[in-house]
Amino acid sequence: MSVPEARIAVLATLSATFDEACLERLERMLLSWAPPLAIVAARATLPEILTTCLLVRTSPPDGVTSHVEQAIQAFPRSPLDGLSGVAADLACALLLKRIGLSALAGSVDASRVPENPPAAWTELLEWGPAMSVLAVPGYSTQVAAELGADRDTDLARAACLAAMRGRLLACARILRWIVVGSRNASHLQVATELCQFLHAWKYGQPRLAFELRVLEAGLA
Amino acid sequence: MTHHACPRDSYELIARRALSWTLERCDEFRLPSPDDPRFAMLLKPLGELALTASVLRQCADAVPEMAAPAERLLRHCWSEFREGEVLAETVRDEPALLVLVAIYVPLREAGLRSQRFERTVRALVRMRGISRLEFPAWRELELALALAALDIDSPWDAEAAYARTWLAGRPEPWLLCTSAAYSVTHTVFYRTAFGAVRSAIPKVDLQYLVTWLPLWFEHYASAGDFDIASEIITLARCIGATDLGDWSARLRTHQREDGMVPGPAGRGGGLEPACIDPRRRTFLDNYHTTLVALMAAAMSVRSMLIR
Repeated sequence: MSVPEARIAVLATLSATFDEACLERLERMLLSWAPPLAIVAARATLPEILTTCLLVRTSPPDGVTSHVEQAIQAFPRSPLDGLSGVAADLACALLLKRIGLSALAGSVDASRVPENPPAAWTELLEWGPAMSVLAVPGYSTQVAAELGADRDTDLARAACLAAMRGRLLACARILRWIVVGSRNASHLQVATELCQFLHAWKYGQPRLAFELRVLEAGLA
Repeated sequence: MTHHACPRDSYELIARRALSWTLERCDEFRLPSPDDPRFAMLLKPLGELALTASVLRQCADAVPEMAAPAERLLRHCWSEFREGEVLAETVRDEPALLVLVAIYVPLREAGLRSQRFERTVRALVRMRGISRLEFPAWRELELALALAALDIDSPWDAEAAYARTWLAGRPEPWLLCTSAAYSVTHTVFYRTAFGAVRSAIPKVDLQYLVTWLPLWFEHYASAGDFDIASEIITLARCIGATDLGDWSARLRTHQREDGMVPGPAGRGGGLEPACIDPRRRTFLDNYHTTLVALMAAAMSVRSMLIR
């Protein structure tokens, strides 16, 4: 199994039921893999694992925690390039504290400062998905609160444009910002309707399925 | 290429160039003889030219240099329509082309009137076979409003037709497709009489448009479809909405030096599909986008001057 395949397998496991049981299955899966592969896969999907723990209100099983710990020690920085990597590290540091693994949070290299949101709404089409790991329902960061409240029309346009261009994963990730920060009923309705639309395309797309799970948790 | 930062400068340049291209090609809009198989199809470019000329005439209150060319184009169209005889004969022979009544209204407003066409239409709309013609809602709206403008009883109800349009349903904005895009733009064009009656669009629909026009412009302009992108600019002017972003610059960049605004590939293919003459083919494939861009630019300049 390659690392990308392992990453997809982790996301498929998390999104399948999105509950404590999925984390237990993840634990069994990681333990069944060769340690280097399991560690790299855990590091590559760390924001998703921690987001799942936060949203299903549980601590990760011991086997998952140990892989998370080894992954952070081996790779203090996210393997993702550019803004996505910066956001992932920042999100991991915040989420680790939030789920009670504060000791590990300090080992993540979250020293890089992410770019501010772009002024042009069309540029949110790139910025929004890249930074979306910081938009976690029920856990509002300052950037999420400000963006969702002040730029929700821009975000709704960006999400729709992504959908029109067939960039469904980007669409789902932009929607996270609306779900977390917007108080505008019509934009939340757009988010809900887009989620319904995206559902038709989630089969065989674990990354999209995972994002839909996060969105559903926020819209519930 | 010269770059202008100011949207009004851009729109002025677009309008001037597109008008020049159009005036130089008046002959291309000529109708063949009625027994030519291309006749019915070529009523479309001529009708669209008449509509464009009427919009330019509307803009002349703020942009006086539009008055003379608008008048010239209207008279050219009227001459091609043989003072309305062609319109009357066409709807008599092919009642489904009753939509020509919508082309006639702006001509009549410019003082170009055909009693015979009006009598023909008045008689036709009383027929059951006319009221049973099946049109999309935006077309029924167009017909109802055109007949009302001529004070002719209509088998179609404008309010009921509007309520059935894509726009009035305020659908999911990302589902706008090409046919829905033309439905939205034409619904607004007709309902507002090209911006003359902005209040004709219900507030809730107006808010929907203001929210989503930037999305739709971006989508179509990025795809190189400046036919719909130009219609969206025209729509924005009809409801008093301003550009959000560099709309004028993108349209100007797409326009050729000679004034032609290239249309999306294949969109003009239905007109004279067998035509291989390069100059004629270029005209058929691009005249519509150029006319719409001309309307969009002229209305934009007008709105910026009277603001």
